[in-house]
Amino acid sequence: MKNQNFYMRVISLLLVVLAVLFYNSSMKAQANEKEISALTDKVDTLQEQQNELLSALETSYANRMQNQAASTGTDSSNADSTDGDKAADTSDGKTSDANAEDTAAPDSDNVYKDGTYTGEADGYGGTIQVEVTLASDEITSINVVSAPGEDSAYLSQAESVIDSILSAQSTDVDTVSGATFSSTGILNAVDEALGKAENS
Amino acid sequence: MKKRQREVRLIRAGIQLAFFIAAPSLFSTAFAGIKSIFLAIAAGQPVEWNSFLTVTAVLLIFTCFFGRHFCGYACAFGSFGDAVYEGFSWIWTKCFHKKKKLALSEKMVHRLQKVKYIVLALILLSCLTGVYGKLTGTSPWDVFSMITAGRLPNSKYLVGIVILVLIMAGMCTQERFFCQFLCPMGAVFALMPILPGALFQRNREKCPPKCGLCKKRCPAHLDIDGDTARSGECLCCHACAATCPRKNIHIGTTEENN
Repeated sequence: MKNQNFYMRVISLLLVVLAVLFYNSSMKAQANEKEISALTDKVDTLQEQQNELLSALETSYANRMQNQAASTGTDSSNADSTDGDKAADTSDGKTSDANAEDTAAPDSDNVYKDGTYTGEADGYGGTIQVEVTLASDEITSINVVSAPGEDSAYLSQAESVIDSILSAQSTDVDTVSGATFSSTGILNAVDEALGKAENS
Repeated sequence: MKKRQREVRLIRAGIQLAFFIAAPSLFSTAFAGIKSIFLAIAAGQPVEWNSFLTVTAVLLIFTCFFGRHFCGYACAFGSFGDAVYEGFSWIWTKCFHKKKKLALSEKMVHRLQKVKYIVLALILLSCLTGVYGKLTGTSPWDVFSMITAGRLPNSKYLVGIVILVLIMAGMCTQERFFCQFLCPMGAVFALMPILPGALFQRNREKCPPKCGLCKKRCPAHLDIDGDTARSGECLCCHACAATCPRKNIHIGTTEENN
């Protein structure tokens, strides 16, 4: 047969692609199953809680009805006690307000000053410049401002290190395998920016 | 006849130089795409599309339709190999005049061409077993791409430096030594189904008996005859077409087009 090598190779290439697709779909199905079981667990516990609440409400309602039936004559004393409850409520509200003010106090105790800071470090083929935004000791965003020496394919891979920094709120994370130089550069640049933001 | 060969070689060298300056890391990016598939499987995660895989896919699809012209004209490491080989040959002829350089026999070349599949299998196996993460500093490609980016590799890359020097020694002895015998990406390219219309075809009837000049000039010592078991080894250097005294070799057709 003419070109039999070509056809053989087409078939084996298709087999490889199919194998990867099959692997992917089975992984996805597995992930879905896990998610479904986690969600059903959650629903079960919620339902349990709801049942408990309902039964608690029912018993308390039944109690109240009994009480009301027992004390239909003494209305005035009842009203007094509800007033007292209200007073307690308002005082509670006040204390919680005070608490909130405490946490929103100026950031003199924070490790980092709020604001946006830039940092630089060597990447693969040049300097990488990043912009780190901080708000009350939290790294809210990291942007790569310039990276002239990086290969674009490697850089976009390396940028996934930013997500790990944001979720870990630390630069003590693993570098991206396959884009070690670029991701190390980003990590070092973020470190430098954080150094600038430190309260002295 | 010599003039035509020189022209073809010079045009190729020009294109190679342009690609070397513009995109020196394409070959390792393409292979990083292949590795990323196996690293994802090793981590038990679904294979997700990434920027490496885009480069891999573009190069593989291009190869299927147009042959391995990437290897012959655009790969920075291949160009580096050509430069080392040509440079060494030039020095050799200056020093020893017409003395013939030591060359590998045809049989040996064909046997060594299988080694790259072992290299590919070993690298992918190391990705699957998680050994790959511990192998930093052993890749000669890392050392090469650091040098092309204008950085000197440090002592952590000692193993990679030694391997690169050994490869360079091999490059002196055989044209396209690395591409034919060791390149893992070359192994992937060689397995691609290249459309028969993109392969070099030979009009055997017009060939003078016992010529075989094309096979001798071919860096991979191939029998140029369209789709064969070895046609994936063709690096599309066009040396055969330029060498053939009867202009019997063309891409896609046995007839002369112009």
